[in-house]
Amino acid sequence: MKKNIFITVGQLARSAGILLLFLYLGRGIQYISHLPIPGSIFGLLLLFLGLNLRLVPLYYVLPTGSFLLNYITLFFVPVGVGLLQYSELLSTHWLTIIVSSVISTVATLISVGWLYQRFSK
Amino acid sequence: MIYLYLIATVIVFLTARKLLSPIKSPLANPLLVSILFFIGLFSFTPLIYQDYATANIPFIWLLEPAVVALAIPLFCQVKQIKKQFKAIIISCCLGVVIAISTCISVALLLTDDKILLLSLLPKSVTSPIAMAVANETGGLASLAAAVVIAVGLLGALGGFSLLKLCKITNPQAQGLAMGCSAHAIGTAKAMEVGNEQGAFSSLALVICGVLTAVLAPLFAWLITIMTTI
Repeated sequence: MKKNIFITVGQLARSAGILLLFLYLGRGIQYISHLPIPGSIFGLLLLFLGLNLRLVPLYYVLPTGSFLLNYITLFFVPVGVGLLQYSELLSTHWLTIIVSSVISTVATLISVGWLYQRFSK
Repeated sequence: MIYLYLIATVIVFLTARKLLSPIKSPLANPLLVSILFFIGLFSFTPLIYQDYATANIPFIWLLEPAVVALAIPLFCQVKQIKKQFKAIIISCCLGVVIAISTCISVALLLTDDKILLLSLLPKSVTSPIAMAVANETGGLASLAAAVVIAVGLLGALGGFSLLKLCKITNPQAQGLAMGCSAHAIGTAKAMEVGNEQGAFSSLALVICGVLTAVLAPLFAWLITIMTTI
């Protein structure tokens, strides 16, 4: 990771360009296929494929990639504040939403974690 | 001038992260604290939320390449993923079925509002998938999005404490559980905890998202039957 200190503007631009390229490829697939799956998920899968096939070396995407992943939680702040828009919808159904979400989230967390811990090698 | 809100998001979040880092409680979560700060600000002062939303569009926009960048931790764990492929698929498939069926069956005890039930169905997957699924099955996309965000926050806040309490200490198991139940917000939290957790969480996010989109029509049909009886 020490190398990160010497990231140049060119390396930043290259990594940002590659991420955008894969995002737009993903959006293209979404547009053509009409599947209810966002373009960014297709982009993720394509980049994963590209990295595995050695079409894209890891260090090409690392500068912008690690920056975005470092701050991904920050990007969710406006998403969460956006709950304000739905305050009316949420306040009418709050009991059902909270009870079913809490029970279901707890059940999913425990069962997936337990299953995987039990069956992984 | 509204772009000051963009800077405000950064300052509030980084300050919260700095101040809360020594506190071990899951409620001392910088994401939650920042969101509550701004919700409070727009609820109790004459400031207008819409200005904030407009100013912060760049962050919403940055989320998409950030999701693409999740391929990086995934690639770093590719050996582990290949080795555990079967266990991953089994856990995620069961996870999706459990996530949908527990949520719907509990909700059915409390309501027979079909639109609400259909909007709750995709609650554990990332919001763009959830909104698309809700649109397709006849739910309300905006309600689905709101529920998804709330569920993600819930998972990010309590997820790791609950997993530790249940003696689920395997980092890969923790990651998968977070991704299955709390999608991208849970994955963001998992990335903070560790690379392995982050990679397995993004893996579960993708697998569960796709599976939910595929299985949603079946569950929507079941909801229709259950609500018409």
